[in-house]
Amino acid sequence: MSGLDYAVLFGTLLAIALYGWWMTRADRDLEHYLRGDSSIRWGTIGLSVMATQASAITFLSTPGQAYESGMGFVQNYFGVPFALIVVCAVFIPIYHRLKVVTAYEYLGQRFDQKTRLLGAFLFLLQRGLAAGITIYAPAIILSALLGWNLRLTILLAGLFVVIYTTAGGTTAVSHTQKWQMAIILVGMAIAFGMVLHRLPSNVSFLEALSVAGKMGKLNAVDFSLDPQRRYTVWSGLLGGFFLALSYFGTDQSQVQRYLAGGSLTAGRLGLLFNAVFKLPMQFFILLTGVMVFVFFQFQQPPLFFNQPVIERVAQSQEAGKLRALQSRYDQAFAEKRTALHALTTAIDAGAEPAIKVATAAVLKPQEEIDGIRSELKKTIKAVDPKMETNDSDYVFISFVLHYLPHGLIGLLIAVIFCAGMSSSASELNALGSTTVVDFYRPLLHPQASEAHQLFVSKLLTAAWGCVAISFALFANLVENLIQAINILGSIFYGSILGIFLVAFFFRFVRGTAVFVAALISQALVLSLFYGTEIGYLWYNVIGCFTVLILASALQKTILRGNGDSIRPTEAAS
Amino acid sequence: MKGPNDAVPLFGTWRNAYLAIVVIFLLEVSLFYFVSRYFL
Repeated sequence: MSGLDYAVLFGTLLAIALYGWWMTRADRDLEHYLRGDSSIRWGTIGLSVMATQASAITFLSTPGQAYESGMGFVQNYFGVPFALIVVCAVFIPIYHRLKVVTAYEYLGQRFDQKTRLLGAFLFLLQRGLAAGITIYAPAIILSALLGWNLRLTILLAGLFVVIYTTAGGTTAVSHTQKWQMAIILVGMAIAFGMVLHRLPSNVSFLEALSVAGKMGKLNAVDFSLDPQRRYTVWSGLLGGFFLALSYFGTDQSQVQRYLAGGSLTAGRLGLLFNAVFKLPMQFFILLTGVMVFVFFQFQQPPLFFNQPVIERVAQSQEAGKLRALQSRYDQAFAEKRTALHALTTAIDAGAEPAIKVATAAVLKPQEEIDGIRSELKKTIKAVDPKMETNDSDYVFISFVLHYLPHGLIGLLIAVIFCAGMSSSASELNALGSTTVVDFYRPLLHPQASEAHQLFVSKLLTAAWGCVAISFALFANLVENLIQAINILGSIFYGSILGIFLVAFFFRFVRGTAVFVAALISQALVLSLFYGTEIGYLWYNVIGCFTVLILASALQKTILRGNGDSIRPTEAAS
Repeated sequence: MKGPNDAVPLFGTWRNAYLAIVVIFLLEVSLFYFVSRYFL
């Protein structure tokens, strides 16, 4: 990175942090701090919701996923529009009517204190861990590729956001996310344009799509019924629906976004904005990854994108094997490049038989390359079993660092930091608010003054920031970072969603029944996670239905006539 | 929900807005499917 890149990067990050502080500099109101400013409009809410979901991992991992296994990941989001409709129609009106700050306050009003605390606890557990990964993910990758000190990178990724989130609360988070999302969208559009620009001059966009299609990378829609497949239309629609319903409807980091502004219409329109634009955005990010894949069919990529790992292998006793693999890889790539030129010529000519022959000629060396990479991964494990063998998170950022001009490199690194900061800000804001509203205020200090609560809210937001940064400082790299976040969410979301759906639709069920059902459901999902290989999106469905069925059954049998009182909320609904 | 919050810009009613989202979703998935198949 050059001086210009650093100027763009730090200028962007500093400007956004200062903007967040400036917008909330005179704010001393607890209501504003927790709920946000009532002047926040639906456009800001929409971008804020989008920025919360799109973390740095989205822009590092998603193009890498497309590079590795194609466009199928987009199906993961097929359930999102339907979930958002349900949240708009059912969840938001209730939250508004009851004037709650956190989603779990509603559980306290509908059921009892223990169910509220369980919901809030599951959120804090899940989101607290995720906040650490959100900070860790860009730091580990950027430090590896740029040679930055990992701990300093984590501190850079975390400290800016902790400062302005702690100082300005929900209002600062919403306003900064609007600009962060604008930078992210502009940056990604430029990156996409640059990939196309860097393709060979005789390869058009349509030809690039054809090459990607022939090499199996445009498989965006898969109707397979095999439950072992991670991404299909059905798992996306059903599992993705429950994951999104739980995430948007019950995760405080999102609930706080659309309750900011105070208007029911603004919250709903903000969510519907996401229902329309979320899928195209994910598709576009994946397509960028596919275009990077096509680019690296003509321009030889490194044998392995995570260079620090390769350097360690080169210095080990397996160095000779690495050289042999590199030599075989160079040969196979040269063969593939020749075959690719024949393929693009055949596509140009539109000669179907020639295209089939050329495609087969491309796929043969590609198989050889895949085999070489598998051997390399075994070699890496032989050197050190703890070394990471998945390099897909490094693909996109490697392209940015090696093939974009200076200035744009700084902008794209700023995109990744902005994305990380926007997600972390929502998470810390929600973690702080939930701890104050659901634990501190009712359990420890019910009579606290507004000023005291505001002070404690800021203190706890900063404390959660420290927890997240500490977790990031001591974490170990997991398989694929975006999957790690989704798997972590799926383990807890099903049970939480089940509690909320019982609250909304099963009026006869009381607190104890749903509390016990949620505990059993959580234990079941955890045993499935450790004991089976089913796709993680199904955890959401299983967890949710276990709570719905068990809570109803318990209420009708063992807990029939249970002394839980009917809550005022329920009586009013 | 009744009252001033029910005024939905562009769509008129929330029901229309939700229907529009479903239609847009179908169009988006159709486009993805077309891209998947056309370039095979």
